[in-house]
Amino acid sequence: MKRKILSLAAGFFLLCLLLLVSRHRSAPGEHLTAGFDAEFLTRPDGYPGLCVKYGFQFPHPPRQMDSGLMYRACADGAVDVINGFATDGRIPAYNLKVLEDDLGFFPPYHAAPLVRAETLREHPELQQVLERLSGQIDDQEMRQLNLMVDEKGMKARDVARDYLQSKDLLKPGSGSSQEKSGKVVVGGKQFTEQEILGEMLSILIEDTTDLKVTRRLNLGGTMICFNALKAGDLDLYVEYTGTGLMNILKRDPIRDPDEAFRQVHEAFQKEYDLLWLKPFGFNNTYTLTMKTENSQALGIESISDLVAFLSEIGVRP
Amino acid sequence: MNLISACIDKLGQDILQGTIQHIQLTFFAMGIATLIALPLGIYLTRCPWKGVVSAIMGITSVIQTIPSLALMAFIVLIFSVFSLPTIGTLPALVALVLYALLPILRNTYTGISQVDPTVIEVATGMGMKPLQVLFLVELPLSLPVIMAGVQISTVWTIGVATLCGLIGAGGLGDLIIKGLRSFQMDYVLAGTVPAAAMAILFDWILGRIETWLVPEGLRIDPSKTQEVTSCP
Repeated sequence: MKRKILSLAAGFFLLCLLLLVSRHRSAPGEHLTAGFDAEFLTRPDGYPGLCVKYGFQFPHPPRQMDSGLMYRACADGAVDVINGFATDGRIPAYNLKVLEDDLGFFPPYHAAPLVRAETLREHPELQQVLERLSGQIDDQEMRQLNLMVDEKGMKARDVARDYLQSKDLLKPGSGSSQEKSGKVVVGGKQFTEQEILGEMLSILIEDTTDLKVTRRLNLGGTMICFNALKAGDLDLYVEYTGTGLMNILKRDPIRDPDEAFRQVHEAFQKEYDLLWLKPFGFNNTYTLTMKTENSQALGIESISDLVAFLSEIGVRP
Repeated sequence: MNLISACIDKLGQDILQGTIQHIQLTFFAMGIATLIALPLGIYLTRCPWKGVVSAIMGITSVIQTIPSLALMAFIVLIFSVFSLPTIGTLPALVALVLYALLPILRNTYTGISQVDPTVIEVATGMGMKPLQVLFLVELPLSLPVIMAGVQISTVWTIGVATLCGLIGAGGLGDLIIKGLRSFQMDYVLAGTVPAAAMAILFDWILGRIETWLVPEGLRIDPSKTQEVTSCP
C-alpha cells in the first residue's frame, strides 16, 4: 500500500512536470500578446475580419476574457493589446493608447434605440420620448458617464438619472396623470455603457409616459438581445449601427455614418419589422488598444505599425 | 454526421487547445487540492482539539456554499487589491483548489474516523507503530470513501473550470462563452461534449486507480468468496 501510494505520487509528480514543461514551451514569453472578449473573437467585424483585412495574426492565440477585465489586464501588462471600446472611460484613465485604424477596418458604431415596430404602433407616444436623447451625448460625455460607474463605483441608475436631470429631459409628457396602462421590456447587453443607456431609456419611459418598464439589462450579448427582440421578449434595446450592419445583416462595412444608419434602418424595417430611432450621437467603435508606454517604446502608433512589428521584429527588444 | 465533421473542421484547433488547457487546469487544481486536503484530513482525525476540527470543516463548507461564479469574482477582486495578476491561470487555479478541497477533506476525515476501533486496537496489539497503523490499516480500509471524495471533486472541478474562460485562463469555457455571445450552437457543443467526456474519463481512471490501490487481501471478488469460505 505504502509503496503503491509512493509510486502513484511519483507518477503524478512526473505528469505535473510534463504538463509544466509543455505549458512553459507554449508560454508567450517575449512576444506581444492579445486579450480579446468572446464576442470580438467571433464577430466578422472583430478579430477574424481584422486578420483578413490587415493580413496578420498574433503569434499566440489571443487570450479570451470578460470585456470588463481587459483594461486592467492591459494596464498591468498581463496582455499587450486589447479590443478597447472607444467610449470606455478606462482608456484615458489607465493611460492606454488607441491604435489608429489606418486601413479603416472598423465601421462607425453609432448607438441608437432599436425598437419593435409593433410596440411603437401600440404606444405611438414612445417614439417622441425615446428620441429626446438623440444627438445629446457625444463621445467625451459617454466616456465620463462610463467612468463614473466603472471607476467611481456609482450605480448606473443614479448616473443615468443625474444625467437626464442635468439635461432637463424629464419633463412629463402628455397624459402622465393617468394610471399605468401598459408594459415595455427594455433590454441591454452585459457591459456598463449598455446598462447606463438602458437605464436612461427606462427612466425616460417611466417618468414621462403611462407605461411600466421591465428591465432586462444584463443579457449575454448581441445575438441574445437581437433574437429576444425579434421574438418579442424585448420591446427595445440599444444597438450600434456597425454591429447591426456587419454582425446581424452580415454586410460589408460602410464608412459614412449616415449611409450606414440609412442602410440598417431600411433593412431592419423590411426584414424584421424593427425600427432604428435617431442615434444618441456618440460612436462607440471597436479599437485595438495598447499601454501608452509600450506603444511609444515599440514605436507602434497604428494597426499597420503593429502588423509590421509582429511580422518583422516579433519579439520585444 | 455532416454537422459534426463541419464543426470539427471549423473548431478542431480550438477544441484541441481548449481541451489541453482544461486538462491542465483540472489536473493542477486536483493535485494541489489533494496535497492539501489529504494530509489535513488525516491530521484532523488525530487532532486532540475538537474545536479546530469543526472550525476547519466549517470554513471549507462555507467556501463550498459560495456559488462558483461568485468565488471566481471574489478571487479576482481580492487579487487586484494585493496587485497580484487578476487574469490568467493563477486566480483560476486558486478558485478551483478552494472549491475542490471540501469533498476530499470531509471524505478523508469521515473515512478514517469510521474505521472500526477494535481493528486499530488489534493492529496496535500486534505491535504496529502509528504510521504502520495508518498505512496498513486505516488508509486501506477507508480508501473507497476517500476516493469517492476525490472523484466527486474531480467531476466538479471539470464543471467549474468552464467558468475560467471569463478570466482569461482558457479551457473549454472559452468555446461555451463564445457560443453564448454569438448564438452559435456548434461552439457550445464543441465546449460541452469534450468537458462531459473528460468528466467520464477521469472518473473511470480514478476508479481504476482505486481498485489498484486496494491491497489484494481486501479486494472483494464475488467469484472467489465461495472458495475462500469453503476452505477448511
